[in-house]
Amino acid sequence: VILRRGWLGQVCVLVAFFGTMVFFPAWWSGRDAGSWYSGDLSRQQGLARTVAVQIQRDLDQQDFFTGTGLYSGEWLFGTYLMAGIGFCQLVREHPEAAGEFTPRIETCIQTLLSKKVREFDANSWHEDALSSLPSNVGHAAYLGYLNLLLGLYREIAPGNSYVGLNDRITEALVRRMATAPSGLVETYPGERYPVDNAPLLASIVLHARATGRESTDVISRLESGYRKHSIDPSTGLLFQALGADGSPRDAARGSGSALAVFYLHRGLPKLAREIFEAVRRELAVNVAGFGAIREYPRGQTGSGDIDSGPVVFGFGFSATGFSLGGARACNDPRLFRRLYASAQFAGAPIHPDGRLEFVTAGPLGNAILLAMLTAGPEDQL
Amino acid sequence: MKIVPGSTIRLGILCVAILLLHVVLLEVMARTRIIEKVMAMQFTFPELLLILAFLAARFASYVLVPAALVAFVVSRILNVSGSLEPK
Repeated sequence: VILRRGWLGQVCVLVAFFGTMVFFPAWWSGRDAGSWYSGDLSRQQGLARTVAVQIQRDLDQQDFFTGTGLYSGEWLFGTYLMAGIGFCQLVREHPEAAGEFTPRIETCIQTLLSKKVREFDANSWHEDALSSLPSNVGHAAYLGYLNLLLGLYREIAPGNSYVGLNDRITEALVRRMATAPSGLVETYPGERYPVDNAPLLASIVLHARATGRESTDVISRLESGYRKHSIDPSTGLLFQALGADGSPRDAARGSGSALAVFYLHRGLPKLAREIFEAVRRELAVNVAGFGAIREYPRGQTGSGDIDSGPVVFGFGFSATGFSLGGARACNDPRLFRRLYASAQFAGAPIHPDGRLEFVTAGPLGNAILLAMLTAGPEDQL
Repeated sequence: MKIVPGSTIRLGILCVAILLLHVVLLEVMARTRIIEKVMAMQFTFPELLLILAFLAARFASYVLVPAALVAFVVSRILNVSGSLEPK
């Protein structure tokens, strides 16, 4: 009777209303996180098939809306790169899927080697990256990222037809990194980004592992040079850009740090974990069960750019998405669940034809999510 | 005799409207790929409004609709009057 007529009943209704508001959205959004974290093949296959459909459409720069040819070229490159990395990780975790996805990896590599994809880098350098291998000149982004994919592919297919190219690029990158005064290879003339050198360094380690030369002094020197110049001693995060002398040209930021964790986790897991711990300590935020990653450390503010995407209330879109990969790679199921809830809420996954597609993400976003959601925890493989 | 109370109908219409709006805006987002423009910081003011409308509809369908439905069910179970039903 009290419940029916009195204030206690009203309180129960209000508690139900606000309790559902607070707890339901994150629970509902994150309900698939467990199966993604445990490496469920059907989920990985569902997203991988969507990415496969999207990259088969023969994308070009006009398919992206960045407003500049350079950035559209980067996004075209990034789409095939992330797709290729995602397929490699999927096959590594589930070798039974090799028959379906190995041809997709080949498609990605072939497209990455095509003139239309190499264009963004060649236009900036006024020379082609692959023709420049004998020299000591930059091309960190194109060669470093491509070489990481070649290294990952070599892990699952040691006799593939790109092994020789992997050898030649690695030799050039080792030489360029060793001779760079800042310890970093230039992405574009006069521009040095620690995040672009992360896949480059990881690809060198993967190559050494594949050829049985992992414990060389060269790798130790390159890694210590990378640590010395790229990592902010006060936060443990990666500086976003360096000058020619190795001094910081931009703040230590979330988008670069989170992406570097993803690239480094296969080759340099200890370094990746150190940066991940810094991301978690300095940037991770829990909002009613939804995870978000700040672009700038607490107490600092800044604007967004093409790397971070919009920065809203201090949270970075890119940093949040990229950290999914770090959370899985560094075995943090709680952060993974919260971040997945955010990705699910913003990405709006649907299931067309038995596939899984994040509706709002587009080709690049789906490829990035495939790469992040299949980033492999070492001890589970 | 009122078989279905007016508040129930209004709540039902509101929930369905929010869910429909969410689905429509989801389709618009998928076709226009505005999120990519936002990530590239290349969006226009109308596109920003569309994004905000999408996020608001998604927020409402994830937060307000379930909360309203749960509160409604609880009020029915407890037979509480005055919270969701006009006196």
